[in-house]
Amino acid sequence: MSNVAHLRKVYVRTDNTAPTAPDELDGAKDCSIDRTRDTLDTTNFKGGDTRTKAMGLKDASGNISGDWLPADTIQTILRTGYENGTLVYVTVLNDGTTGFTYPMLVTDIKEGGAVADLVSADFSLTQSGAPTARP
Amino acid sequence: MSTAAHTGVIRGPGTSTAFTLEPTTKLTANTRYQLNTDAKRLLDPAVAVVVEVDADGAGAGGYVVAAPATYTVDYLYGIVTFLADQGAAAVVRVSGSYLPVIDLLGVTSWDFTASRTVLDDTSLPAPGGCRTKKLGLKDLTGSLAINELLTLDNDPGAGSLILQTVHENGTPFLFERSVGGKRFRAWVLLESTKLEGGVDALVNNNVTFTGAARAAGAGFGWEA
Repeated sequence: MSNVAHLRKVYVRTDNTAPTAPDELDGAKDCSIDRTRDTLDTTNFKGGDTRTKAMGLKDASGNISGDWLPADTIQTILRTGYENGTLVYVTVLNDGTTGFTYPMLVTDIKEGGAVADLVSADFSLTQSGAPTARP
Repeated sequence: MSTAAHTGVIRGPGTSTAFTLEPTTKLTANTRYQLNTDAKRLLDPAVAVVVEVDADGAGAGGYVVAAPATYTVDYLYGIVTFLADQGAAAVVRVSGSYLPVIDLLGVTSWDFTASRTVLDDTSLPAPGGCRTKKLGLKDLTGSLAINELLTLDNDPGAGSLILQTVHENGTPFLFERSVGGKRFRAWVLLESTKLEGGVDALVNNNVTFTGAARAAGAGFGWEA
């Protein structure tokens, strides 16, 4: 069954505990998480004529973009994480109830504003460590 | 609440102005003190700051110059942070120079990206089979779209703030974005200017900048 994206919940905390309503990020309009694994080539002379592979380290990156909110304490957590180089814990519940908490470092913050638009904020994230399934 | 960009303003640096014995207000824990006058909080990093502490406030003792090794200075927002607790009664005053900020005219859009280098520190054993990382150096890039000529003097006073001159001379430029009651300040260099304008359009200048920290203080930062 498909899931409408507007039910998605995005939370940010400074620790890896289950988020609650006050931890929900405000202003976010788009959120993506890309989970990857390294592919290790295990092909050798003893094998056949087709490459063989194994899976290596896991990794993930993410992006959250939307409206810049001057007074939002959750966006402030992301900015503080960038400035201090400390982990932020981003929980994405794709159907509003289940998902993962990702330990993330904030690598880039982009802000912008054109005279006829809203002020925008864009946060780029890279995972450091293992995610936690929620709930 | 979302913020319309047209309510904001982009500013640049004015002429460095000396001030003496400016009082401060304690922010937190007898260690952080901020200059009272908002207009004087952007400190000129090219001018040494003198910090004085009166340990007993209105008591019998007087002000004593604090050793620079005992505190750090946030030049972007005028905050002195002491390494040690100064005591509840202590009052702090500061002398130095501040930079007034001047509205840039004709700005139609702006953007900046604050980035950090990602350093992979994954080692054996990797818990959960996942990479671990640390953040390295900070940097900044950004741009402005301006429909005024870059030869325009933005300073309404006796000084001058001409972006063309700043670009040609390669001098440090203080970029300030102020919107929604919050400011972002950065020391930047103007990397490039691009003049555009077809026969049926306004003349437009695109200016790109890159972060360039000064010898003292942070290169850029958001207002708390």
